[in-house]
Amino acid sequence: MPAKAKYLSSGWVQFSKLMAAIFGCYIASTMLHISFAKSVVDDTPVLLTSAYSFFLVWVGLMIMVYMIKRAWISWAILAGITLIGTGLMIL
Amino acid sequence: MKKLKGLGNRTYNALFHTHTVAGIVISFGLFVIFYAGAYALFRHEIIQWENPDMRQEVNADLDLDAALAKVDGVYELDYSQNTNLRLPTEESPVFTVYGAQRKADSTIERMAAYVSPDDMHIQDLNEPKTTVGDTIYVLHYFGQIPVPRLGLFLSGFVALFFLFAIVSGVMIHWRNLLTKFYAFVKEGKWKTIWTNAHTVLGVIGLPFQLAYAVTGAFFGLLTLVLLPTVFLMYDGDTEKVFEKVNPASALTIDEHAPAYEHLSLNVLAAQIKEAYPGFHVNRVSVRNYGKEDALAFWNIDDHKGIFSSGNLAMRMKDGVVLEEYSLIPNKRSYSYGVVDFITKLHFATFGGGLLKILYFVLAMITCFMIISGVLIWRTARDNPRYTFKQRLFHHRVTKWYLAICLSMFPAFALIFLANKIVPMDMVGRASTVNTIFFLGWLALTLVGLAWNRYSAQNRNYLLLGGMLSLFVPVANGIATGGWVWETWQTSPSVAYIDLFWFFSGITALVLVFFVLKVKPDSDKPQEGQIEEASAPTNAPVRKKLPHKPKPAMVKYSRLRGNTSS
Repeated sequence: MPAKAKYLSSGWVQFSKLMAAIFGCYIASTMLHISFAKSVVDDTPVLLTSAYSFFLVWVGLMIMVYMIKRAWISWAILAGITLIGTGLMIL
Repeated sequence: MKKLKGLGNRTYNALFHTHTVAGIVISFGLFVIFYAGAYALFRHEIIQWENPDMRQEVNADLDLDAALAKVDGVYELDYSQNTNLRLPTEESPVFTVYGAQRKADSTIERMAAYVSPDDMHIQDLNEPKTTVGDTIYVLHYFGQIPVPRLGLFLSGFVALFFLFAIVSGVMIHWRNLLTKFYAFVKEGKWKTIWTNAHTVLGVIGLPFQLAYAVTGAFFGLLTLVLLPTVFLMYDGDTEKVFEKVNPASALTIDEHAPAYEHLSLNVLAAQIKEAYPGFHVNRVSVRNYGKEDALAFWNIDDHKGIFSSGNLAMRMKDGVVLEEYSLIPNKRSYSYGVVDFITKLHFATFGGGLLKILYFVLAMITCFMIISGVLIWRTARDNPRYTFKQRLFHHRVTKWYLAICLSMFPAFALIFLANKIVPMDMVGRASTVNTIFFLGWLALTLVGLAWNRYSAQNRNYLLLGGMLSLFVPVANGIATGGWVWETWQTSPSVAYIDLFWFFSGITALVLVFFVLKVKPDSDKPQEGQIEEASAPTNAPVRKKLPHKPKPAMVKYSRLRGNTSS
């Protein structure tokens, strides 16, 4: 019953995924929310929705990190979200 | 019944693994949060129970101005700061004043005190005489950790990973969501029993747990959410964010406004009651009280719904409600509703006493779910595929875990007892009570480590807790004269707490003597099993399989994997 070891990543990949899940997903969730708030006329509802959606998105991205086999793909997706978010924020 | 389409093999195992790891890491903290949090729902009732000075009848005619004047006389309030006055309720039948004191060196210090509505007796809250309700409440976010805000932060992260465990748990259980729902068996192999308990209770408690995971993360990690927003969007101006939550924070006062005899709070309260029949004033906060531009903010609620509270900003000079700075009950916009919604959801203040009892039960179910998760983890690893050392480690973790968690029941009974046994006029009695509680909990935990059978740990803690529980109402009767049959009429909240302990004591003892069976043999892995573990028939876990399993085999093993997951 414990998860079958042959499906699990090991060592550095696991560490990389953990970092991606905690920090990468936090930053991506932040940028996703801020860029969305910046691109609508009234940012108040967005800001207050983030009080709960922030955690849902954060956890959703965490799940994504563990569902994708390779850690670097997860990192790339998170970086992509963050970059697009930053771009929208600056524009 | 139809099986739902589940995850693929790799994803299933990967998520299963992270679910297990995240679950085990947070389990200690999560149990403490839910167990203490369940009691903290009744914090005000407990405070009334622990402190005889709080047992008063709530009178209809309250003198708000006199209460404020009394506190001002003792503390010399600085009214340019927010001064909060919570009105007596049946739960907490005294005024609670939170304000600011200007010290001699012109620094500002927050003060908090209770004021009895009848004789205006003041009790300082920064040096309270009694602490049970507050200790338990603070424990539920690890507030006793001496580093400021660290406990809150930790509990926020526990809530976040709880959310992760919930989502991943539902995903791995998805395939069996319908078919296994009715499989609440109490017979068969222990692994099956724990697994069924874990998944079925998890599904039943899902909405409750989801709500608490999200709202808990909100309270613990709010800073993490706001910090980047404030810096990237508002150039570090926190005021602007506060205005979005509460329009009243946009109102300003002039510290040097002339003194003025404005309308009294009592008159204004009567006005509010007339304008909003059926609503209670929860609290009023005043700014520049006694000055020309004095403002009063009335927090009102009819306690009948999750959007029914409101905040009315009022000019005290003429009693005019400033609508654009107010939140009208049931008519507030989405943005002004969110934070209040989250707060009400978390503190369970939207559905009366029955809702709190229901939440208490759901919290206990969640506690059981957390325990069953740990026991699945251990039982699934109690086989020859693991080395003796590994199995000893699993056993120790489980034993520690059960000792810490299950000893909370007797430890909680102990703090209630300590509150009655430590004399009321003793200097520093609150910290004595806290010391008794924390040392008692530690001692109970250490004692429990000596028991190598989980069933014995469970039974012994229930026995200890059950006996201590029965003493709680007796101790209250002897120490304060408030026996259940008297408090039942005068202060029902006190009677409820006594009755709760009476029934939990009886239930625990019935379980101990008539229901629970303690296994005769130890759960500790025995030395003899090492050879079994290293026997050549058992291939090491991480070794690759020699053949690729045929598709049919995959299906079979997956099915098998899932029935026991």
